[in-house]
Amino acid sequence: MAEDKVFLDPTVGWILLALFSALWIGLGVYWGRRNKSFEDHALAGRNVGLALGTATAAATWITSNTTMLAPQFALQLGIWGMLAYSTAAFGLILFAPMAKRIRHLMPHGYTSGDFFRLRYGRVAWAIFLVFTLFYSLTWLVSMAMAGGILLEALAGIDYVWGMSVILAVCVIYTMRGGLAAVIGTDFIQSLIIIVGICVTGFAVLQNVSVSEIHANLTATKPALLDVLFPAAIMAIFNNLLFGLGEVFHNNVWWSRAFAFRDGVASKAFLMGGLVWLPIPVAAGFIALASGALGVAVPSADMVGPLVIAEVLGGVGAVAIFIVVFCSLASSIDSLLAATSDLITEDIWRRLLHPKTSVEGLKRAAQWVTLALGVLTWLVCLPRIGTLATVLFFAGPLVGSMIWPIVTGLYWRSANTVGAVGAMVLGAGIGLYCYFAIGWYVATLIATAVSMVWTLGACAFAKGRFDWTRLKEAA
Amino acid sequence: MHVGWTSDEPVTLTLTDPQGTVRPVYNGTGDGIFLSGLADGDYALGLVGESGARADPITLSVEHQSLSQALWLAGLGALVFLLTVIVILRGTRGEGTDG
Repeated sequence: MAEDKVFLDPTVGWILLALFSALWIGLGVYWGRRNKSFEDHALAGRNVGLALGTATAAATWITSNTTMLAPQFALQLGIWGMLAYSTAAFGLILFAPMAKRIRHLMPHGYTSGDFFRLRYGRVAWAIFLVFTLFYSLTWLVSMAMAGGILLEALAGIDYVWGMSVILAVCVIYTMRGGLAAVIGTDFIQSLIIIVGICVTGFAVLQNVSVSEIHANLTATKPALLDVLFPAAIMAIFNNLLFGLGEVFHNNVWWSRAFAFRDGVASKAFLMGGLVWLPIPVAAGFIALASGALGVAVPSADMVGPLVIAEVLGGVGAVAIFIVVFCSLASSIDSLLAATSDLITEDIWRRLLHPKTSVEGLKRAAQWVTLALGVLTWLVCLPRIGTLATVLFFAGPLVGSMIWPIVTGLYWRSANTVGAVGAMVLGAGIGLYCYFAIGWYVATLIATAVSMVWTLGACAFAKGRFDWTRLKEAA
Repeated sequence: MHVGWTSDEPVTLTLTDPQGTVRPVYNGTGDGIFLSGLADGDYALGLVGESGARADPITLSVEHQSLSQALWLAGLGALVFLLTVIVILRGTRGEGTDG
């Protein structure tokens, strides 16, 4: 990353940071004032409507990766890379019918951990908790680190200060407001992000035409337009299955399925996925225009800000700063809330203190959110760049959980041997392939192995699951 | 790939493609550039300073991964994805009444 390149005056950067921090914290405190119980705090009273539901699904899935990594994918893997990134929308789109089923089967459920515990027993639940906490914590660390690095690159704000402020703001309003605050702020953040990306796309087209971009790519980067670009072809389904695994297993999405009002979940996830689908394409298009605009790109991960600063000047620098801040906040808050709820419900209540009152659980969730924030801050403090790449190891882990979840929701024949074997074998072989072959096959192989094992276990299963066992009272 | 250099003056980086065509890919005071999207073949990179000072040229060989391997993996990915979609859609229609 070109750390010496600053797009925005640091004073302006600090002012924007202070304004948006005050806004999110103020809204978080306001929206959280009615939370009395753990259900209010963790699931917003199970009463979230369609507009907020759609916005939170889209905004949570728009991370700093969507605005920064999608252009990098386009620059490295071309048109296919851009489309490969956008296939992550299928995670939300396919989760839509699953969310309806989840609400139907588990009307009193709180977390995705509840599903694993009730459907497959304690061994599968333990493996799930290890996998999902690894994924969630590495995602959280990578987002917080990205926040510090991006604020430093965009506005010259010191890494430690930028990372600390973003994390502290998200921890405060998530602690105070719970899921209601997360969903409410997501609504505003999603609007800002979408408007920012649309304005940038149109500004690029004001400066250079599609035919000029095509001519420049044909002359200077022909592989980016090649339909048979091998690396890009391999990335398509690996990325798609990574996205499916992330959404299907993680409590970020399950908690929303439980929180949405009856009849809302499937529509909200479907619309959220459709809203998200074109965003990586728009962000990637910005990167493909860099050559035609004469923008020299020193490192792939900065292509988005460089092009935006080129076409929009000072306004663009302010816009990208706000969009990046919103993208980071909308993901960090969701992860903090969903992970703290998972730890509170699955570890605190189910394993350690089953008799805790609803008010006590709410307080426990708030303390867990704070502890998660402090832990993340401590891990991010030394700025070990390679930590962020650990997130990519999670691909085989999340891929191996797709089939146990899907069959567990729809097939009575899905069973513990199938789920445990699918997760252990899929993740193990997938991780081996990650190191032996490359990242671009790891999730795919893990999902394929997990699928074959699950299908075999279901075919040989004698027992049939009783769906009413999932309707455990809170 | 990232190409970096150190220089006290503005530089021009040129790329010579396998057909021998030379084109500038960078002109300015920066210290690096990201190159991507090149077709298979041998390329030469040349760096010239404003004063005319030249760095030793670098040869760059581009060889993309095997297309047959990529297509095979894409086929496997398509199959896994398709079966996942079928299970979800059939399950949604039947609401989990198998067996």
